[in-house]
Amino acid sequence: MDDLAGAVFLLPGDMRGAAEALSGAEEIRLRAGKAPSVLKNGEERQIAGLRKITSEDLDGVLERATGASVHTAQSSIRNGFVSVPGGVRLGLCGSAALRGGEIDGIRRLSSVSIRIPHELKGCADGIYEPLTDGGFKSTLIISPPGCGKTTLLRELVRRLSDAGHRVSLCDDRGEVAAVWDGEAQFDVGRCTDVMSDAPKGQTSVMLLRAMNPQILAMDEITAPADVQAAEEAVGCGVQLLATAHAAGTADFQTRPLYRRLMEDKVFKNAVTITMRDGRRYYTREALK
Amino acid sequence: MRLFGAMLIFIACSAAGALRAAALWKKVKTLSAVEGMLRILSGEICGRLSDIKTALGVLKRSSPPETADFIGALCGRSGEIGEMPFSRLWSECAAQTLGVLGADELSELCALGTVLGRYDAPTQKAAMENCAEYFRRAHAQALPRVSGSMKAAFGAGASLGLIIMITLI
Repeated sequence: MDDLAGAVFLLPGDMRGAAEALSGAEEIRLRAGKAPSVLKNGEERQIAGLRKITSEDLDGVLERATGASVHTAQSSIRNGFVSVPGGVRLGLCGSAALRGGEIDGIRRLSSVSIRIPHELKGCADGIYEPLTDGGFKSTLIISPPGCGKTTLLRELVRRLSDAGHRVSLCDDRGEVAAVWDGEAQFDVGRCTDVMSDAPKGQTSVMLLRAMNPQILAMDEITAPADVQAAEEAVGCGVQLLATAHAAGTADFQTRPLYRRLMEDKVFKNAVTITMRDGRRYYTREALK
Repeated sequence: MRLFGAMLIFIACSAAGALRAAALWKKVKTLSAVEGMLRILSGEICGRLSDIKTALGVLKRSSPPETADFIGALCGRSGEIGEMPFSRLWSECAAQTLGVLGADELSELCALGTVLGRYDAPTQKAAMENCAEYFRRAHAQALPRVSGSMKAAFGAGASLGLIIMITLI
């Protein structure tokens, strides 16, 4: 089952015929009471000819995604997503159920985002040589959401790993390597060790202790624990490869969460992804 | 010849009564088996957090014989999970293989299918415990009645056969 087929399988049975309209899609959006829409090149468009989604349809999507075993995905549902074999990720939105003041799950789904991963081998060709010239140094990949940070991260991990670097990958949402039954669904290289389905802040420490990496890779630094994990890794002499949401380095530096990383000069390089006319452009910048 | 025919009718009526008594006994055993099956399923899903296919595999190995056909049918159709809502699979297999149960009992079991695999473990556990309790009570109520009913069914069959036999002779 390829990535798109995996995503189409999650749709209600009478909508699977629309697979052609989904070719090249980054995400399929299903919202109760609205017709499904598709996200391509950062632009969301309604899929023509499909009926409105019902809340039962959304429950059915979650049932298919978990193989009628929602209870097995409860820990990730608490974080608002479910990983599906093949690397497809289901983002969930609805009425949050609280237990002891903390989110315990989501009841009455109101919308679902089916995110379709893309493996673009070769997408890092233009920046790989400059990044590794003189030895790979800690690098941050920056872009707004939906521009392909995870895709570029995966490709850089693969290239570095195949070049003989021991890479440890914190894949908390299972999007980078999409490990299923112990095996990565995406090619992340021959020297890559993957720790999935747990917070980066915790798994990075485990990987540093257990796997002796030369490079630690993590997708999306979003929490203070992630920042601390990044600093600890660099403190251990490990190079870091990470992604973060920002429009560019200037925008990144203004975010309070990231200020400490910049002040401590954790990253030596930044790669900014920009989209113009449906195409992605990668810009490398040495950070001072 | 008349005597031989009358005896055959007596035997047939007695056998019909015995079959009815056996069916009653089977129903009682099935009520208990469904309760046992639900306890195992609850342990797998809510205790070990097994996915539904794994839980069905465990049930197939450990379920009482009275529910073996039901579990066998579910396992046989487990490839349809995703294509078809699990609740529908559950209901169809129950209707096909647990016909010995009454309409209310089947309805209770089918209602459980709408919860299985769809909600978090505590919600499923509560639903399975309620359903298991329903079947435990149904079994407890049916058990004292069943021996009387079995005797009555067998006795009625034999009596009817005897009356016809006497009439014919």
